[in-house]
Amino acid sequence: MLGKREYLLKLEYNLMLGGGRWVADFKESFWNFSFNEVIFEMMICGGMRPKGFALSRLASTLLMPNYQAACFAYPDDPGLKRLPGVLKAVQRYMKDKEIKWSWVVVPCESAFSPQARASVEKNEVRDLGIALVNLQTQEITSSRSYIGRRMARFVNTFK
Amino acid sequence: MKKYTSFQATNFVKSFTLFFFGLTFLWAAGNYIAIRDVLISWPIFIVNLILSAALGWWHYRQRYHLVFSYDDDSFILQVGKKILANRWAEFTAVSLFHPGHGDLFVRLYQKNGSFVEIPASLIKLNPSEFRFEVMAFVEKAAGRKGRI
Repeated sequence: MLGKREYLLKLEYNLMLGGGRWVADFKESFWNFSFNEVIFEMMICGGMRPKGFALSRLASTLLMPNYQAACFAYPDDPGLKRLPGVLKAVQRYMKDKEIKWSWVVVPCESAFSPQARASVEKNEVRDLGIALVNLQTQEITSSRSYIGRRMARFVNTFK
Repeated sequence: MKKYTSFQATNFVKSFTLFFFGLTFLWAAGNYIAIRDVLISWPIFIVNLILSAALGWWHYRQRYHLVFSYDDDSFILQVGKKILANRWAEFTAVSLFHPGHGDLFVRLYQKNGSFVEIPASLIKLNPSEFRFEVMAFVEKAAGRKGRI
């Protein structure tokens, strides 16, 4: 079984240098990131405009909106008791830093409660995607919004 | 202090190419001005290659060569002739930064928001492990746990 630290390191690599680059240019990663009295194990932020070289840089400048995006991760919350506070902090951070959309990843070495999974599946906040990652069974439960459905593929770093 | 030196082939090639074309141009222009012709021969080409390599190496050492040394109290980063020496205690936050082209830098933030970058992958350090090492140094230097 992948430990939570190994999982987060793989997620970080995947977002900054792997497949995550197709979604956003995640360029900076903080560990033990604290905001509004909430400590995130990891926070990765970036923009939607890839750098590239010459023509690709020109194309991205002309065609891509320069939205900011972020991915927050905090582990070990099988009952999602901390999630409301975390979401509040994330939304506050998004407002402060003008971030257009965010992902919240909750990796856990034990199973999530059925209520926790149901509450995440029901979540339809448009600019926020939530994914519960069970490291034992490698099962991923994500929120129903477009951002949430899209993130499931990129937080799956088990392959 | 642990010391790391890194030879960056790409930057040396850049310096070499700059001088190779510069010397070729100077030779051609000088010849044309003096004798209204351009002398080309294998010995001249070889001398140009040797001169370009020597000048390129000098330019590379002046501008790009990386020497990094650190211990648990401070670090010294030398990029060419520029030397940056800081103590870990001067920083409050650490991040891993991807400037592009697959390189990874460790960024150190000061309280006022200004930052210093250590090109970890260019020095051939493991950027992720080095970042955690630096976080521990900064945390230790700040004498507190929690927020980094």
